[in-house]
Amino acid sequence: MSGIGVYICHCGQNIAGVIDVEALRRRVAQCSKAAVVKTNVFCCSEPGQKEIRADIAEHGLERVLVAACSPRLHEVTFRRTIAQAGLNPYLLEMANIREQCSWVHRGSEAQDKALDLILMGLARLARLVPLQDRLVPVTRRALVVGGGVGGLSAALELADCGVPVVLVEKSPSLGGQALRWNIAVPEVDPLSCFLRPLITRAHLHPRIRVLEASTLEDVRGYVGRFSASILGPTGPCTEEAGALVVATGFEPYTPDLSRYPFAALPQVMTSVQLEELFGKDGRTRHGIPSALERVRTVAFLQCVGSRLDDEYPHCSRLCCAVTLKQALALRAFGINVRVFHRDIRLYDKNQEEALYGRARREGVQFHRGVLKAVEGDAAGGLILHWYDEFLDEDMRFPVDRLVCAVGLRPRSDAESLRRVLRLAASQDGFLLEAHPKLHPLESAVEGVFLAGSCQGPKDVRETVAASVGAAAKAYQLLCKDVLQLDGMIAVIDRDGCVGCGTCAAECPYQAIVLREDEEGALKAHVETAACKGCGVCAGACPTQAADHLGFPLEALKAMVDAALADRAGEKILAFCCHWCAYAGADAAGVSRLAYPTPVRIVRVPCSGRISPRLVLHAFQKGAGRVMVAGCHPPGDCHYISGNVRFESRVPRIRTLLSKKGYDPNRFSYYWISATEGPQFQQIVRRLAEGLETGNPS
Amino acid sequence: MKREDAHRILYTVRFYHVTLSLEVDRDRCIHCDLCSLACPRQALRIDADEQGLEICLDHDRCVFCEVCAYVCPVSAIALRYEDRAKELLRRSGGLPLIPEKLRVDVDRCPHRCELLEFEQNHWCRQQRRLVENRETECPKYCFRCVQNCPRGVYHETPEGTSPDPVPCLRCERCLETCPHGSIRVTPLFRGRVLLDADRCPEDCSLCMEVCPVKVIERRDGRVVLIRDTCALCGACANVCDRDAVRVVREKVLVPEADTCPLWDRIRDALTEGMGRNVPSLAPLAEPSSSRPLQAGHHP
Amino acid sequence: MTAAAHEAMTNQKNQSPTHGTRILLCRCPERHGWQDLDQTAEILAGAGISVRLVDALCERETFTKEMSKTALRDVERLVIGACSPFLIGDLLNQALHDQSDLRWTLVDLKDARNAVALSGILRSRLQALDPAFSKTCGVLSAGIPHGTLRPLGAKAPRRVLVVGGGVGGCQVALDLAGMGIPVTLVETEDSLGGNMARLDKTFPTLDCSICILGPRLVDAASHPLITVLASSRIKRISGRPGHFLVEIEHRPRYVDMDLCSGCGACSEVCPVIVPSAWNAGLRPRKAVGIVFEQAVPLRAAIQKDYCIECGLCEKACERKAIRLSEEPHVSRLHTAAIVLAEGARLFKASRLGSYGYGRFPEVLTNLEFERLVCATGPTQGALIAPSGSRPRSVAFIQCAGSRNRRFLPYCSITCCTASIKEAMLVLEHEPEAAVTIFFNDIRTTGKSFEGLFLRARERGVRFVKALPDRVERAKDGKRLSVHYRAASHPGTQTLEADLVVLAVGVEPPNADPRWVVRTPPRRDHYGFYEEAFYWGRQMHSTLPGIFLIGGCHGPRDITQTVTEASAAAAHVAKWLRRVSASPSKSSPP
Repeated sequence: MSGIGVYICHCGQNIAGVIDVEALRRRVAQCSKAAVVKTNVFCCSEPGQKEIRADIAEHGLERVLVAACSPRLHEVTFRRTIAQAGLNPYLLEMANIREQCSWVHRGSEAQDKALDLILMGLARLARLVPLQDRLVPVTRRALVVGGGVGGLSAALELADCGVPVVLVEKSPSLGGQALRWNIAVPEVDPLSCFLRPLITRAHLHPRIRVLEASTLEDVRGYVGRFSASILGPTGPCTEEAGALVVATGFEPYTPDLSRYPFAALPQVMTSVQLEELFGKDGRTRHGIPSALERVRTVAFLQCVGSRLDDEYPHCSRLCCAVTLKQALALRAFGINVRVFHRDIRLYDKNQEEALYGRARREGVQFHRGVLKAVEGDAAGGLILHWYDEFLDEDMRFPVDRLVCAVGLRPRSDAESLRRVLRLAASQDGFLLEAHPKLHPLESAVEGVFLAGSCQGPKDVRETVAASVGAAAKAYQLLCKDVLQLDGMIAVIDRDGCVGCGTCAAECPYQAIVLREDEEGALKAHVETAACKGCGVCAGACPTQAADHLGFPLEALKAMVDAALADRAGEKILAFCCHWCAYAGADAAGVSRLAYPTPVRIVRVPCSGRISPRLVLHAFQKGAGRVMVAGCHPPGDCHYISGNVRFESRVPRIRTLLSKKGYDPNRFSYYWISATEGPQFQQIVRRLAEGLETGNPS
Repeated sequence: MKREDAHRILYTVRFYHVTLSLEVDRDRCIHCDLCSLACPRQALRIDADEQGLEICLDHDRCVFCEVCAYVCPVSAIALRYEDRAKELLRRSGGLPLIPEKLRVDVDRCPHRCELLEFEQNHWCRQQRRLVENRETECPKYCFRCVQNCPRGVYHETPEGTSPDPVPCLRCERCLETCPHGSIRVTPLFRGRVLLDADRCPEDCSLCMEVCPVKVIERRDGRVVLIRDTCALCGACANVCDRDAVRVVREKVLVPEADTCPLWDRIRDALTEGMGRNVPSLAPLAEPSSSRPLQAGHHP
Repeated sequence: MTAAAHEAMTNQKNQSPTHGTRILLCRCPERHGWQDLDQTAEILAGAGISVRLVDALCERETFTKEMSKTALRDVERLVIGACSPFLIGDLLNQALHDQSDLRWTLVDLKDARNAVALSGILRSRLQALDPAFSKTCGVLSAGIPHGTLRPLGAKAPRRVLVVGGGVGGCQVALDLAGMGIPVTLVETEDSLGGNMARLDKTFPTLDCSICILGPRLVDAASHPLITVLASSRIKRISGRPGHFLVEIEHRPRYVDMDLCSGCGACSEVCPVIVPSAWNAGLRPRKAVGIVFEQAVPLRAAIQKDYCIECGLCEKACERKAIRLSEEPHVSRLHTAAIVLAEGARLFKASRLGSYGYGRFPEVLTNLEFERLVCATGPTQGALIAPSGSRPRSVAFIQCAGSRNRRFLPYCSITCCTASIKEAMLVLEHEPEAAVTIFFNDIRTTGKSFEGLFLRARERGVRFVKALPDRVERAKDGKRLSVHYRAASHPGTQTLEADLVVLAVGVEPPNADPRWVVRTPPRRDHYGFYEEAFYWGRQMHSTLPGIFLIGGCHGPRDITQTVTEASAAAAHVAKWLRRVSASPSKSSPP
């Protein structure tokens, strides 16, 4: 194991506060034959990286292990670091002693586990092979899904950059929700005057092809060369594109009568309906709408369909501003307005005065509290029974009309689109961004970008900003003509392959084909450009001829051996998929959810990479428990269906185990998403209890 | 935050839970001009008003650099950080070590006979006679240093005299008075006092009052240095409003050390640039050689 | 007016006025329905100028019909009276830019008070389009925003200046560089990172802030197309859109940036202890040293106004990187566009006298609290009161300055969620502590912020709908007592607290460079930079070529800032294409 450098990070107090880093360094130096074992306060800081580079040059290191935070955070950083020093970037391993050790464990146990994690890492590191990045040509075209404000501005932005764009809109005409939902402070030009030129421009733009009344049926391929099959009025067609911009927007909540029985009453309308009464641009230069004549009092009920603690606990962001704008419009007709709300939520510097302050000055009355009931009265009006927080008493308000300020919900057809695009959804059902703070426009899938309110409630201005930004991201990708993809892909050992075709059948990306080799025997062959490196083939191959270059079987086995080196019977071996379960474990760490120490996490690209023999190997080494954790089926898998394909293997695994004389109940598998830290904690706790009491969980 | 009263100045800066403080003990201060000369940011001043001299701190300029505490001859200035004495500057090794003020070799002092109970005669070894019981002390026993020291450095203890170096100004009065040569004083400055008695008004006695070693007196109408044991502290120059007295320090006698530019500036400030090119003598050579040259009167 | 020009006008009068000219008016019912266009048409007809009236020019059918080559076959000069160039300008440019022989201009019908004034404006514009007229009168006035315009002269430089190295500035720089555009990033502080680098965690996911930001900063600093100028400020901006000449003043760090390795040996020996501004003054630092552990660039700097020039650092520095005799110097930069990412200032909590900020060390601002709980903060992440004891009760006061006529009349957007996050951090450090949040409205809009709010309520954080009147020293002389009037409760109540955290709002950036341009970017009545147009132009300042992102044109959270940064990058790229196109092309609105 010469030529290996180990760097242990204090991460300020994050690690050093729990683990005695210096003692750890000494023990690592004893237990391993690493050439260099050093500690650093912040390995990721500039001097930290510099030190690593210097050592590589000085001691001629060939492989580097960094024991610090989660590889999901800094693997890229350190790969770049060692690459700058002339090493192959794939000869790097990170031992996650922060999220999965110092943040969740205490005392000597943490110390020992940190050592174990580092040794496991060293075991894998020693068996990694140098890999080369793949170069993929980029199709200089973009596909924009959704023809609302977001889709239009994204498409126009890209087209102005000289990128040919295909704009797919589900409804027969462009424009989307914006005209129905116009949140504007008063005294600005009507939204339609902004939107209509956009539509016309998109139609007339030489580089934009508008496909109206068309739906996205399926998307194949990968970043740089997607191919989308679209079903249009003239029949299906296929479009090639280098990048995708998703701007499918939202849809307003329609009150469900079981929760809002009064919504059926004739005097009750939603804010969308009111907006339509106002005429198509949401303001009335043509006098009072006929439907509102002889109406004296209008009540607005906020948070309809939003902030429901049991069903949908999310804020829709826009409704308050919409309500205030509509209330002002009604006041202009001399109608009394009462707003029944929980909080008045505004999010733009102008709204506070131009909407809220002005509404109060114009005599709109605000009542903060909880709605008790609504009933019709004899005069054809309504009675609101309302608990007022200020006065701390129940009150009743007679009103003529009740407007439900409905919230925003993800589109009902978003689910199918998510399947097609293999995108994940966040808890509120909107599309999940790559990172809520620093990558709000990128999705987890490379080359697919999120524009506007498909990612979360946004008003028109924010939508324009987001979609133009998404266009910028897409353009950064499309202005190159080749793209670098990582080299972590599948490989087939020709001699081992018997041409059974299992891998070809299992591969989610159809990246494996069977070809006759020179002897005429059928052999599997990997289309490197199409391979995403999920390793499902390696997990499926009965002869273990298929392998994953980034996570070779030998490396995984070595990690298992290292993890089970001592007191194997008390250990819980957890194979976690990089995208969801491993991130879930990280989440548990980030929110400091302590869980039992014996768990040893082995990172795999996807649960589909786990082969029955790997599980068997773990038990042969005496593992007390083995768990496999992946993304929630079916949609969340980063590789379309790896998790499902693993699930299909579970019966085989159990039979294999019982045949070899191991209790199949000691093996279990779970679905944990990136946000489910608590679930991870619970699962590990349960397994650990099972361990102590010895009875199968 | 600065708190100030007749007896002390306390200037503290608080960082959330740790504090940094500078305390000036006004009772101890002898109003010499060392700190005001040495302070790199002119934060300390000796102001003269009708009550006399007073040390003042312009706390906006102070950055707690420790120079004042380093030069203060009577350690009237103390800096504290995190409830410990702040010694960054001393420990950083950029400033030369200030030599020890004095050492008393008690063995050289005449031996006294042990005390006896009252009304008991005893045979005194030094006088070779029976000492009567009313004289419970040997007459030979020497107290000259204790009596003569103008700063009250020496105290009498059963073990003989023990010095408390803090108030000592290295004036060497004790050297003059000690017949046994049991005291060694290491001077810090070489220099002289220029007294222009013609300028002195008839009834002015400011310098005499302020002088911490009491070497200035009025003899038959003229203000003179009565002794050549001036400490070169400069208090008299501070207080004199007629420029009748001037203290010239020609050299700062510290051991050679690898010093930083700050020390050069301090030394130049104290010696008004004189000490720069003078080759520094070995400070502990012989005390007589380092006696300050006196101007004005000759014994 | 020169005689030639006069002649040009007269002979224009002689020949038939309608020859080759057209005035196209859009009666947009929604925008300027009140404008009496028929009367205007009559007046112009009286002058012998024919007018075409259409309703909703921007409708697809109408537009294609009116703007088709056939429709404009024999038209040389076209005056379009419609809406603002920000609305329809791009459309007209796109449709007409290939008709090189057509000279056209756009008039916003809102500009004229009545029909008479409008007809006057239209006539003068039509006249100004006359080539003879424009030739004799020199360049066409800037009053003509669209169509064939005065040449921009020399080709604009392919370089963009980004002012401010916070998360927004770094993002926009990275995005521009990703499009292959060279960027110069100017940061006033000694390190990139801005306010986000000071945060301990980011809501709603409670990620470690510097952990996610640090790599981003390193990327920006190490990108070949990005030049980072730390500890420099913009002194003067002159020139015109597309050709800005910027004077950048480099504050001396008194350290050789090439030699220094940020090892910290200098701060070891430095005898001068000063409050670290980066830690909001809560933590002492030496007069020389790095700003913080993950600073980018990680180089030391000397705070000369505290330095006593003892020269100890010079002795200590093995690489001889200290340059005590460094002078500030000014460099010039020729740039085509400027992105203002200065961010917002924090409101000075001392202005709220009644909350006792500055009088009681237990009263902190949001940011100071972030530094306090941060592992690199004054207490290495331990949550303790200034007295050193562990707080049993912590109170958060929302809307400190915000939504208040006397101070900041707007909502600062981030403080609610930030305080809830910090409440969670308190409970993380002190699970037994009692946490109270005094609020006006809880504004956790934004994606999955509400989830954090709910988690906080489940975790036992107490939310009180009231803003306290004052904070005073409690009877025991140690704790603080917060006096407030909760609704539904008569009289004032009192809460004893060991720590009080003020959720201070954000103020507009005050540092304004000297603008030596014809029309400097305007500020709105709050003092934030004014946006060029409400719809779709919120990243454009009122001066073309100057773009706004993040806090400098309104309160923003990190996500919004990052989003705007990417969008601004696209706008800048578009602008560059426009000004660096062949010199005779049109200039922007």
